[in-house]
Amino acid sequence: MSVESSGRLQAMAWIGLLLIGIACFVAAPALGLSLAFWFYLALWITLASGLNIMSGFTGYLPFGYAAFYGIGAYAAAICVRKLGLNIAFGLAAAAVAGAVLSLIFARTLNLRGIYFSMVSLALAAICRILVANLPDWMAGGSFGITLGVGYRLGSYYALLVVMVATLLTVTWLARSRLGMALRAIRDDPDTAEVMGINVGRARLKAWMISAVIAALTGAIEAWYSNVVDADTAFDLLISTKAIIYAVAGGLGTVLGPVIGVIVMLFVDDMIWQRFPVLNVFLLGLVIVLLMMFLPRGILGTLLWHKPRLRRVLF
Amino acid sequence: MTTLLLFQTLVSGIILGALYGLIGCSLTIIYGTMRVVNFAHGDFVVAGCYAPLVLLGLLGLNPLLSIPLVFIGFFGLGMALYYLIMPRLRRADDPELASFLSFYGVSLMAGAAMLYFFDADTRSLNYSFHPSVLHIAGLLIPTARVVALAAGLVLIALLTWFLYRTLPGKALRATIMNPGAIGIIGVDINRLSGLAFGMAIGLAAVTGVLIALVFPAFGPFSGMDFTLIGFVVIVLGGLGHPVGAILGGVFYGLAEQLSILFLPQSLSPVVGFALLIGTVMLRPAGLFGRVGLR
Amino acid sequence: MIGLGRRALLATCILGGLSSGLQAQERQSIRIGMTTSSTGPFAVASQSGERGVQIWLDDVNSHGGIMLSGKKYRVELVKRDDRSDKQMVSRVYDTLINEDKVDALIAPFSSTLVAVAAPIADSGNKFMTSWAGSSDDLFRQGYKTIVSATTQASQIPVTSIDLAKSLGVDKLAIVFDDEPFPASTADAARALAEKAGLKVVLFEKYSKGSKDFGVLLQKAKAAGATGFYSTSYDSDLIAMIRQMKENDISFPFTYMLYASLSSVTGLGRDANDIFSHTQFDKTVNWKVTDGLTTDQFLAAYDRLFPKAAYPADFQTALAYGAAVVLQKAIETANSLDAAKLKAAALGFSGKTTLVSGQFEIDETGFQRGMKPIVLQQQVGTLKIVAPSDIATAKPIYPAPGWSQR
Repeated sequence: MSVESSGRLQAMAWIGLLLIGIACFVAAPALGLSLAFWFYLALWITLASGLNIMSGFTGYLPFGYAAFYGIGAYAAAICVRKLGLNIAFGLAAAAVAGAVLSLIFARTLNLRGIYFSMVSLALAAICRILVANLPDWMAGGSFGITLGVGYRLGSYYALLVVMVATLLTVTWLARSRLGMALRAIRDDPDTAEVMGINVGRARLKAWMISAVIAALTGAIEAWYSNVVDADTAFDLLISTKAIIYAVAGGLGTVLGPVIGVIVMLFVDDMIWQRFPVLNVFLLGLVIVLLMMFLPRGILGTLLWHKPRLRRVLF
Repeated sequence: MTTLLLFQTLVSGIILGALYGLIGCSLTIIYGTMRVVNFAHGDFVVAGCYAPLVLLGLLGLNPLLSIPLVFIGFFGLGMALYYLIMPRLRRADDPELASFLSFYGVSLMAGAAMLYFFDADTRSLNYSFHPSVLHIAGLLIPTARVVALAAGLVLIALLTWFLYRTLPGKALRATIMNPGAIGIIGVDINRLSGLAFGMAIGLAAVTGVLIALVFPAFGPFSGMDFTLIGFVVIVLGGLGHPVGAILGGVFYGLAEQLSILFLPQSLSPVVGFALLIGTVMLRPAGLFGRVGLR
Repeated sequence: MIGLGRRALLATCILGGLSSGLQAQERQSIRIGMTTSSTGPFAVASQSGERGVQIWLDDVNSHGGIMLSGKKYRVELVKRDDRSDKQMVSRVYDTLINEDKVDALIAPFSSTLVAVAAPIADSGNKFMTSWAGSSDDLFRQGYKTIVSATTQASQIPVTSIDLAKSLGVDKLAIVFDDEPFPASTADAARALAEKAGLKVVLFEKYSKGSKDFGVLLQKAKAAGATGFYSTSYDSDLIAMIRQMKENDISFPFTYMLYASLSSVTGLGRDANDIFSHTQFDKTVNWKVTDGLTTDQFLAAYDRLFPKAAYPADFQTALAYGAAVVLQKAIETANSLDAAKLKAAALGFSGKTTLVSGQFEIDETGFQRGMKPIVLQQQVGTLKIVAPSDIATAKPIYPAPGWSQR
């Protein structure tokens, strides 16, 4: 098969999958299926893919990813509740907040590996504490903020839009020059610099895109669940779950996080139904086993052993 | 705010700092020898908090006397865990990430296990010393804290002796300094790492016993808090420097207690995190370290 | 794809119509949903409340059930576990409404969890009675189907602050944990204290999960406080008491809201002379209009839970009261529709007294009746010290220091 036709096969397969996926998601509420399940499925797919931009493509593991999620949630909540604006403004404000925060944290991108991850974690914790200690009239203090937007279904469709946009962005990244630059940075930042790639700028772009995705997700979730509070919005588990789901599927691939989320949520749901007491324990065990036997993730391992599948899956 | 209050706070800071330093010490041994970030470290500390509870209940054993038992038990557990997980992880493309995440999984399992056995209510060690408070130099210090500090100092002394005067200890320090070279001179790095891991877990658990004496309560999910404290401490002290960790711990302890004194308690954790960020960005070798680790 | 959607929509409508028709014919029981915490900081109190609901369940079913449209239906309690976790609550109340298809709800324990359950109940259009959602803020959100059957946070400190003032406490230190109920109540306490002329020398919140209160206690002492006031949950109070003893810190007046729970009184001598809060006591006999009286209630508790680790406390009574309110609303409205139930509750508000006190709500569901009671542990037993008309003992003030106990 020629390179061109294999590229088209890949594109067709991907578009086909995407359309089927979208159809399922759109139809789900109409069929009376559990909105909660499908909402959170879309949410984690979006978050894991957003994280993938930083970790799979650029090689950073932001343990404080939740900071962007939380700031987005609060931006939306404050707009809607304290300023009385429409939720659309809230979402826009969330995106801006995410971008601004990522700029503030941009200096940390100079760090590598574990240092970056720990500093990221610390920054998210500081965000949480600061927000929790803002005066009540500003950010609800201990009570958090209740949005009271209503039209919950709207949040679901908004999330679908963001999810598709995220997946398309990641797809574009995988093919574009920026994406190649990022992967070069991930593999060896010094060599990338030598080759003429503007490491700082490329990284920053990826960082901002990643942050905005998380912020929008946080804002939409606030709309859906109607309440934000500092502990849940900046929860470490948000970052770690996104990382684990992305890794479980396969970092650096487009479909990886999607597969990872679907499989892990399915497993988690099954565990929750049968063994609610052992839920967390089994989740931990699954993570350990995954890292021991499938460290490249499901898709990653599959592609490693059968590289010819790269024609269709990526 | 009186000077009395200030001195009380400083003493508190030093005592807690010594314990935090011990946590950092054991964590840095693991990182230094294996470049593994043990996300479950705090959970082993908390397990160590529960151990004297159980031993006191079952055998009526004085918490101080339970220390050797706890150490041996957790040493074994540590080594077992090492041999179970690490060899596989070493073969991954990215062992650091793989071990980072798998120890997060271990952390979840440990927390859930403790939850199952002990319920989520916070527990306390119902062991009081008589008298419960000592008057030293005009300050009121709970006896339990003085005892914990003394025990902690003994542990630090033992550890220093081990690291600087015994052959395995020196091998350990050599591994931290240069893991590649160690293999060349014929040391079985796998066995040494297993030993180091077991020791570190044992030490973490024993630190937990002391923490149970000092803190009024703990719960199965306090693990992550201690893990984070451990990280701040080892960054302050320089990754891979056990003695630096102790100093880093004391520094952190003082900073923490002083910040509670001067700031509202709900804001005080910011100081610890700010210290971490500041040290990493400005002095990555740590306040007391000499060379940053690759 | 549009065609697919429309067809699916049509199918759903037909099926929905059929099934609701079937349901109307098939009603076997009235299903009430609630969650309890098997574990976590809210476990003890939540399970105590659950026992109260069980007492109601036993009582109502022994009389054949709840009367609806001329027929008596057995009550089925659909109980799920929330593990004191906000995210569990969210998931579980969704399940209760959409999968278990309950007819009405009883709220979980703690304002923290009720804040998560309330919007779900409200948007799911299910009536919910709350027995432990005292935070005032809950009732400022515009929920239409939630009704409170417990004293609100802003009302709780009234009795205790009045008592402190009358005993001569001049400087108050208020310490609380960063959660909705403790924060609400602490805010109210500060406002009431300042209005009564007391000086609030320390007003400090600590983050949830803090375990070390040493410096905080010392700050309170150093500020010259003669009264220590904490609205935190029982697990933190236990830690505070221990550290007070270890650091030899004591105050002439110590009020700890949840110290009336057996987890705290179980500390024995160390918890002596501490003032606490309750809404139910075996010596208090309100003129009950609905449900069991105090004596009947306690007798039922002994009968149903002879081996219970803890005696009946105010959480038990409050949850029982909430269930009675729910029953009365259904029988008065003769419907399970949330809006009609709420209207019914407003209708009998002010004319209903339960074992937990007088039930009086306003438009938002905010509870205005139910006066708080202040207890003090004296020589190991809890005695009522305020309000004076139902007091069984005189308050001990000032409390002796640790060395004198």
